[in-house]
Amino acid sequence: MKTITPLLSGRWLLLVCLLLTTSCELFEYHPYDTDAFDQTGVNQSNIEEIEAQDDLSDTLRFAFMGDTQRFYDETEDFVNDLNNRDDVDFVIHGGDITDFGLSKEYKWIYDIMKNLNVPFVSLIGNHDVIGHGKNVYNEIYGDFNFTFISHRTRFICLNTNALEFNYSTPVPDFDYMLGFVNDSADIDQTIVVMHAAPYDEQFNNNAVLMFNYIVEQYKNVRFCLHAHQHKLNESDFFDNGIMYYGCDDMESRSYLLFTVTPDSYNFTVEYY
Amino acid sequence: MRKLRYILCLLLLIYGFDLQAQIAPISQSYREEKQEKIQSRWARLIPKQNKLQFAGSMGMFSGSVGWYYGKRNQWETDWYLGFIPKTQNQKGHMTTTLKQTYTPWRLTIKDGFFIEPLTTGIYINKIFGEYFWTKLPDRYPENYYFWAVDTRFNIFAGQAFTWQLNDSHRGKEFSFFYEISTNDLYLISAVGNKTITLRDIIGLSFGFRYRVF
Repeated sequence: MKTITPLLSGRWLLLVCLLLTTSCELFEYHPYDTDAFDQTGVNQSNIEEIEAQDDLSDTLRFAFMGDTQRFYDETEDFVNDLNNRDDVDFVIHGGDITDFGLSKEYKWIYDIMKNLNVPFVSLIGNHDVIGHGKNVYNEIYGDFNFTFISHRTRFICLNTNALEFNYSTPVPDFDYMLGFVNDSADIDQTIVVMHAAPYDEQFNNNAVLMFNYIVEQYKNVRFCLHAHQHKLNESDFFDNGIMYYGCDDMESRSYLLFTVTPDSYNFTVEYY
Repeated sequence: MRKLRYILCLLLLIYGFDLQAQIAPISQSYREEKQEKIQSRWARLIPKQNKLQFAGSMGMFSGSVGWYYGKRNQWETDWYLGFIPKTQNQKGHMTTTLKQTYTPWRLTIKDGFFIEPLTTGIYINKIFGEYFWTKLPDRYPENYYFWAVDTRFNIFAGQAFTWQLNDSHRGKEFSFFYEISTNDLYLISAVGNKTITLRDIIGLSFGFRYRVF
């Protein structure tokens, strides 16, 4: 057996001490742990920012994207691209923030998205539910269903990942949805946002007609938005003129840019 | 012909011991020899070491029984049970881990103190709980998710420091070890993303190893 000078052993011990004193986040109990996150209530604080914006003009402009999943570099490029423009009020992430529902993934995507110059809100996607992912979503972003108003427009963001919740939680939550039928807020129009569209395998398709029935009751529904399908999509699912627009995933390096005025709306697919 | 051979084998199995007995009548020493042989064979399965590990994506604390073997005792196999404590956001969980360690070198620093400059290997960890499945539940379409949510494959590298226990009553040796590790899903995430660095995907753990004999 070899003999090494005691000097070296001192160095080894020094290295160990150095490693042990580095930040505690290196000590992971499990990849699905609901870590203590620096940032909590992200949707709520961003909504406050959105609602505090000067929205006196009658033109609403926002970006809709989704399915960031494992496309970290592409998401970073998206943030850089969006920061280069000054005509967008806010960004909506349509869900599937993560690919595996892991805590670290939530953190990685948040660390990229937080660099947006404009506020952003994120919906929960089916991948985000896996393991303890749903608890991590609650911790970082907040409630599964949420709403905000911008430019006299009511945005209703809904959890539609029924397959994932396996009946343990009402998905879609009709009680929540019915709360906006006779909206007491001073609004002109409504936009409904979800991760999985009606008739998707994630959606509770037994409830699809009821879902549509409630959406139809909302004040001046302009259109609905969804992500999840990893391709651009345009559908009038119920032949009632309420269009559903789906965005592509981040891998495609594209997002939808919506411009909504009282008389009309249009959107473009922006590639970066 | 083949049938006959089978029958002969069977007969030999059944009457083998008796035949032997007829050749040499059962002696006390033969019986003892046989007993010793069987016992020593099973004795090899008795765990020879325990570990207590903190963190490492396999629980908060995990305790193990294990074995070391090989010409230079370079192999270790440990079976852990661990736990993740209940917190405000989640239930507590039990975990179990099977770990294989390879230690190529052991350096003597001074009498009774050794360093293992590299310990490396793999471990498979399984977490038990409501939302953790191995096989995709029936409600999903086929191949909806490709990974087993409850099972993680980890790789690690670390070092160990060993003190010989002179007092034989207390056992053979005692070690402190630390490791950095990562798992299959972190590696998949890092591949093709320059945004995700090595620093992002590694975790640190440490523990103690106690060899009884």
